[in-house]
Amino acid sequence: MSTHEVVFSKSVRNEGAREITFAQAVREALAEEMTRDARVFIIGEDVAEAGTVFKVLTGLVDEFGTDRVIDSPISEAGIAGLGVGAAITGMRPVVDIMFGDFITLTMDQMVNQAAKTHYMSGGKLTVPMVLRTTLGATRRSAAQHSQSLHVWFSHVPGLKVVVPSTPYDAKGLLKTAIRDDNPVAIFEDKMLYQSKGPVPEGEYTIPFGQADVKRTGTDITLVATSSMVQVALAAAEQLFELGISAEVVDPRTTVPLDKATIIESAKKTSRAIVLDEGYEAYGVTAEIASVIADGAFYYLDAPVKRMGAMDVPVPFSPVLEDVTVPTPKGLVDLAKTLCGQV
Amino acid sequence: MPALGMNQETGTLLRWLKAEGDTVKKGEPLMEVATDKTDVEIEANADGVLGNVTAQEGDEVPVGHVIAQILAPGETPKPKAAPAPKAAAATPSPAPTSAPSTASSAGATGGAAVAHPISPVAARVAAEHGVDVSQIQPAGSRIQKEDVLAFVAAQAGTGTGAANGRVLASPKARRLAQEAGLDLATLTGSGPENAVIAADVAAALAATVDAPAAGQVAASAAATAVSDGEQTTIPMSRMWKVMAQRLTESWTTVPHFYLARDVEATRLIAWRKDLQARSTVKITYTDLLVKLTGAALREHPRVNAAWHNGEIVENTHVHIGLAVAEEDGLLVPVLRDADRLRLGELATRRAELVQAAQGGKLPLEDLQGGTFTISNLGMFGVDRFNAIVNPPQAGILAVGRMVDKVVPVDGVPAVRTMMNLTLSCDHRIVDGARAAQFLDTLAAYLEEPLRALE
Repeated sequence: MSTHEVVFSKSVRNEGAREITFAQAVREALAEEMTRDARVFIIGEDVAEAGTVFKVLTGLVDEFGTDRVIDSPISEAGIAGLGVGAAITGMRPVVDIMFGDFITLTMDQMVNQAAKTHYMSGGKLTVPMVLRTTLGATRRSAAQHSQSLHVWFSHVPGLKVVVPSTPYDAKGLLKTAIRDDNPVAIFEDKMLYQSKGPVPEGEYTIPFGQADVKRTGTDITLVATSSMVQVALAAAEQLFELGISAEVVDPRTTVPLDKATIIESAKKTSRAIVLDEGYEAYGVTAEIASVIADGAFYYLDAPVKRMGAMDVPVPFSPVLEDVTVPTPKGLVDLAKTLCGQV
Repeated sequence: MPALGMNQETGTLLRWLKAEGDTVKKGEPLMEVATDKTDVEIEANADGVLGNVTAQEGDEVPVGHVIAQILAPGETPKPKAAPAPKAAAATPSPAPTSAPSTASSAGATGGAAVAHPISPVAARVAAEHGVDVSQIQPAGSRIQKEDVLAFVAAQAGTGTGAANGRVLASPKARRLAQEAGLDLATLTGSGPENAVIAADVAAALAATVDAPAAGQVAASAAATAVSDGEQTTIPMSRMWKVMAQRLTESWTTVPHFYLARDVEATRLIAWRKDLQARSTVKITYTDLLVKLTGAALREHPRVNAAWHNGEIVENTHVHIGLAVAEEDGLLVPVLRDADRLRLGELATRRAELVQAAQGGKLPLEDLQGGTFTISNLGMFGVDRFNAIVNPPQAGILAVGRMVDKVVPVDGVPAVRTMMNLTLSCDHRIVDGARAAQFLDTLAAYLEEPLRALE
């Protein structure tokens, strides 16, 4: 535990770039892509005048009109099906599902249609649609509006799944999603929308399946997704004070998953904790932990640990809700145990 | 008796620093133990009262053997003979066919194998931890959950972590130990449940690899020679045992090969004579050999390399070890940065080291870190010999005596003072050609020391 080197990755640093919020980065990506490609349009509940309940799309309807920023009835099943059809017939729809909890209603369209069409048509049809939705608890939205269900889509071959953790990643990954010829689901953490970070103006994209090492370290690897990256970075800072050098790896996309970077980091540090805000049981953390156990087995000096949402309906009570998700303190305690500091 | 080094089988209790019945605190010095290599103060690993002391000062005890217990206040010492409860020991052991003392059967009326009744919760907890309940001594008349947990904690706190006869170790520690040829069972685990983790393997390697040939001279074991008239068994000092063990390890695991070469010592003799005339310290041929070997190693870094965990590691520094015979065995004090020391400094330092070695006062750090070894038996009249490589080093140079020989010079027989050099190498690190090039450089320096200045 002697090396105390802290090197932030390029994407985190971005010296000189202006700082904007996560929500502004998403809006900018959409505006740039809608300007670049006339086939791109947005459909969802309260996306136009309201600019979504999270105010992510504010002003887009004024710029692109109600033909391209379309308010839909409250019918997730309907708009998801519309998106699949529009994509097959040559458009590039961005379907907005306000709360990720309601991807349950889009399942047949996404799982049996969008994910299978390219394969079952022998490659004749493509489904270049994007499903934008949210995840994350602690917004006091209760059990039906607080879940992180991105693993549901991650389970199905044929769907790509994006979980950005910073404004920079949000913009670059969303632009890549819109240009991808396959169906892509992008999950944005509701609690990250107002977080700020450096984002370059104008054109850049981030390839899928390329993890970003958000902080380098030597003693323990923290693999984290979406807002859990912020939890991991906060914990890494505290661990640094305790003489433990933590490396934070953000896969950025759960499908495709950058196994190589994760395994390489775990081999280097010999210890790993995987964080994700989805439920722990059968979750993203389980998948990534198994990747590490398999790929870095002979380099591990401690069992691979997981931290996800507690396997309960998310409570409405703020006090209870806060203990169902991983926190920097819990992560620090677990990391200390793995590193032999009790 | 804790294991303090790899392959350590026994430890000698030198001194109790606490008496039976004394209160001890975790971290307080408890006793002094002598191992093969050195004397160490052992700290208490728990708070409590020292009790059940079975080892007396001077006893040599197998590693892992219980020599005392630290008891919680009010706890009664366990029987000294066996860890099993007295009741169980007194009654005949049950036939193998009778009900085993598993948690399920133990909860009932208490079979023949169970000395104490057990609560259902305690039975479940015991089953979860795989604990044999007949081993548990309850605080009251009945085994409660607390008794089981205390038993589990006590088990976890003793010795190396082991489960079902398998040593607990992380995958990384297992791999590192295998690569280094270490037996996991000889290591003391510092991980959860006393599992051996990578740091424990690294510590064991650091403690042994750096001082492979010998250790600090510790007080000799009290044993004396035993004779039956026909044969006499000589008691070995710890140092001798270490030497026997290390050299066996080297001889059986390092693929040796040898290159021999006779060199003419005329210029070397002249050089020493000239140096000695101007020097206040005594300069020996060994000093010149060390100096010139250092210069040759600089030019051939591969011979100054080491075998670590299956990898060839070249050393930045040239630290030359000198094999020194001593009553109790063999010591190899190390001359650090031998290639950079001026001859006067080198001779002074060499004299200090040899004197300290022969007086048994050599600090451990002067025995560690050697990157190459020289063994000179010329003073004993030996013409030539093959030395055993001192792992993890790549080579050792065996130096014979200087002797006048008839050699052809310009086609005519002439008498010259000759000396034999035999280089032993670890073939995993150095091949014959590389070793020959090194030996050629060294021979050239010995025959014309001025070349080392080029």
